[in-house]
Amino acid sequence: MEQKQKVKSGTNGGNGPGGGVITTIANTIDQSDFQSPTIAPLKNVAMATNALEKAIKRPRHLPGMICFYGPSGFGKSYSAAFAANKHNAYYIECKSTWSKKAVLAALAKEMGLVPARTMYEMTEQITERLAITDRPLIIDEMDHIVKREAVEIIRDLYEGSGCAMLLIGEENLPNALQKWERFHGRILDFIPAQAADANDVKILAGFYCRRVKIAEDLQIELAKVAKGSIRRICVNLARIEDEALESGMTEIDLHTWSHVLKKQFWTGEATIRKEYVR
Amino acid sequence: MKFPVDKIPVNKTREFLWNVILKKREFNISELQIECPLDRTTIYQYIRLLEKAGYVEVIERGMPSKGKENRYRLIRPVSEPPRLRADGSHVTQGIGRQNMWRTMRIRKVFTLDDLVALSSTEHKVSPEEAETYMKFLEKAGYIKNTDGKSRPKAAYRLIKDTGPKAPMIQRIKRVWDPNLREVVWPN
Repeated sequence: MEQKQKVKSGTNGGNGPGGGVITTIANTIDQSDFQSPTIAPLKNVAMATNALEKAIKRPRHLPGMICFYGPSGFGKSYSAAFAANKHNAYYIECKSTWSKKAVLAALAKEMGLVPARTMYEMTEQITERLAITDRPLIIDEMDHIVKREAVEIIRDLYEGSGCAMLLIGEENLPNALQKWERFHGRILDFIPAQAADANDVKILAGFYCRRVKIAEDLQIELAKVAKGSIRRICVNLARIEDEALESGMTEIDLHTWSHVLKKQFWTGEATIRKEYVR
Repeated sequence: MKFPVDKIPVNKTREFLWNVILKKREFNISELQIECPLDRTTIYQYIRLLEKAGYVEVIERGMPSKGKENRYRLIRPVSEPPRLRADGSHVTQGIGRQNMWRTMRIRKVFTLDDLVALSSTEHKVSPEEAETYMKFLEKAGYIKNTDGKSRPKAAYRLIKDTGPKAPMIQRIKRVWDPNLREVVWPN
């Protein structure tokens, strides 16, 4: 049973003829898969980077803001970090305490400018830089800006510069933006973040579990218990690698993990603190 | 170009010169020299490279015999000064570290694997590169191990975020912070 599954997972990745020598096939596939590893194909990463690219390259009569939203834990910020690197973006993460002026000051600093004294001057300063438009702007935790009624500031910056922007927020962000009618019309795409799946697990394993090969059944199980969270996947992949190497294995499947090693996944749910167990 | 970065005054940096160009849009070398106290040849060489790489174009040929200079126009404004090789191609050195630094600032808490995964775009970052960079940043007090594990799996936290520019490791193994413009380790 187990072996059959391994062969299956082997053939969908490469061009292995028949299932004769399982280990050799697995090895060759490993190498071709990881030759140039990148997390670019992760679902949310691909959506965020592609949408931002589309906004950067848009014809000028189209709107240039992207709204990327979804429940926390789906890896929105994680994806945004990659997108920021890929497009050399300016990035700010808003705080609940930020006033309108604080938003502008943070932006100015992020752009390497010495913040001017008044809001008006700072807006000018920032717009002038953004108008060069080779570097997009990513605003994370956009919900705080909405709550603080500072949305108009972002619109001013956009109007003044035409710079592509990626606005990231919780599930409710599109609705919240609806309230600012003039803002809503400037959004090119609304992109809902997706739950991570087994394929995402496979891609992440290339980085977080480099030295151990994880069988497909274990990948699928991990995707299930992670409930779509990229962070949970990464933490568990790291644990699997550690535990497997400690037991001298370079390959591991679900049965070995849960019945031979008797390990459980980290699910992020509270457990009893060890020091209190007497 | 091999001059140690901590010995260069602000108004003699490439960035400073580029900001002057961004502001002026059309210029000749003398006009740049008024605002930026660099050698004439240094400025001229950089402008020639910019021309080769398609960032500026000549709009008026000068006549050296009559003391008339070339006049240039900026045709491809970008936010950061292009770093160019003698043949006009782009320098890629430092992109990996810039990406890692940006990743640290965005994630705040991260592992070595996070840095490698998130910083590897078209430009790949190897675990070894990440290891080296983290080692120096830890010594210089930028990041801190938060869970006592050893490096590949340990969670680190960024505890000193000095600005958007990535701290540099100089040839002589010192850490230079271009945001503060000072040597931060050893101090």
